[in-house]
Amino acid sequence: MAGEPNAVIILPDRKSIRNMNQASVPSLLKQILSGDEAALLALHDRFSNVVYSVAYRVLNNQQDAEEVTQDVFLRLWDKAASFDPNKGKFLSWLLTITRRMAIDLLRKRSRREPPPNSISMDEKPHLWETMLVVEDLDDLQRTLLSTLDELPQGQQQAIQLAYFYGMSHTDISEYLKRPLGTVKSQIRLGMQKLRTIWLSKQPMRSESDSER
Amino acid sequence: MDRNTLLELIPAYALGALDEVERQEVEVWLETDAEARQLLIEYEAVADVLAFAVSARQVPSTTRTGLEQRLAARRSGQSNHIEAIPPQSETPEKSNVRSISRLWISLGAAAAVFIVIVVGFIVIQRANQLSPEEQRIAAVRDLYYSLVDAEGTQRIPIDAVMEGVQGDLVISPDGEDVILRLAELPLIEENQAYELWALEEAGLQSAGLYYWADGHGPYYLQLDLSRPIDLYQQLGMSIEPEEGSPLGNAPSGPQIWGLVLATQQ
Repeated sequence: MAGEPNAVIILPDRKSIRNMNQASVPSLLKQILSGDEAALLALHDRFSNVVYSVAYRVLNNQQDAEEVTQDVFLRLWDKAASFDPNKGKFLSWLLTITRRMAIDLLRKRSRREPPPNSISMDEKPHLWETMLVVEDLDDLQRTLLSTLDELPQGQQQAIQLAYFYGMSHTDISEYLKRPLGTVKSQIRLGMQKLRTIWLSKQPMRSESDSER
Repeated sequence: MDRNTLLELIPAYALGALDEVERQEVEVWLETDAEARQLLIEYEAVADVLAFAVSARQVPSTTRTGLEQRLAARRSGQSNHIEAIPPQSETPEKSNVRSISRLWISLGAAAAVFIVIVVGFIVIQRANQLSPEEQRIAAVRDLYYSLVDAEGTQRIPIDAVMEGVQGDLVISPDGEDVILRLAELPLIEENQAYELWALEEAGLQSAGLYYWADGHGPYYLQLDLSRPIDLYQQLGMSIEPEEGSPLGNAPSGPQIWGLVLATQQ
């Protein structure tokens, strides 16, 4: 099992890591399962910026974001076998872990609400284009992000508070001082709009699906 | 709650925005409604994209160094004591530097290099010398792996009560050595501990309190039980206050995992 000590410990060197940066994700995951730390560091080099960016988005603190970034890759070291390529992309899986661990740390820090000034800091989505993993974003994802940018501000805020801070309807209602019903509607309408776009890009979907 | 209302909650469920009662209702209903499950898959696909809705940031170089150090620490069996490496300041004060002569800069730089070399040497020396505690942890880990490979060893997996927890118990053929391996434990607060429980005929008893900061592990515990292992029926672990369960010989907190010993199965 990855992460457990073996009789033979393979220490990565810089040259092997450089070679691994060209390797595919499935190949690197396979090497992690055989206990190869160089493979893990290669994945770190490839994805750590985006992992750190998501962690920072939640925590708004460099030190905490670094801690979560390290924790995420250690989790990957321990749980590489649990990634199922049939259920989605590796990066989505990695970022789901990142977000959950960042939210856990946020709660551990006894902060139930977003750090000050963090809500508005990502209101300029053109910055998304500077993501270093831009090649991992396909056209559909770009379209969805543009659509998110076009949603009414109330819907954007409610969705982002739920997604990045793990806040419930009730938490968001109290935080934004909006009626609970309004928050529920904002999340539902915003997500419906995004899903409609998502469905329109999927092959062989019936139109009635997009009504829901 | 009718079906339409529940369907309307799916987007919020995909985002993790439901309150506990609503979440449970949706989960019960999802088990029997294939159309709702499909809807959830679609909303989850949408939610996955939201992770990209963040401004790009450059990860500090200290993060990779810290990761390498934590991997190295795991190899030496001390992962529970290593925290993330704190970031270094990347914006040194420059205003006073201009007024210092080149000579002083050179001397300062030489001194800094000397200090870095000395500190680096000390760090490397320390890294190569395991403390007695680290040696003990490494010895237990090594014993675990030697037992796993030995003929006649019993290896019993734990039954995870909390999601994701992993581990097993290995018992040497003569029953003298009993080692518990645990990983992916839930995070606990600083004023909490993991309490191990052992059930024997006379009842339940605490078998020790443990604290690991990150819970990931793997951790290797050599159990020093008061009676031979085959006299015990079950083992288990719960989250308790740091001083132990206030109930004494019964857990007060949530159970993490349980294990039925082979002789009782």
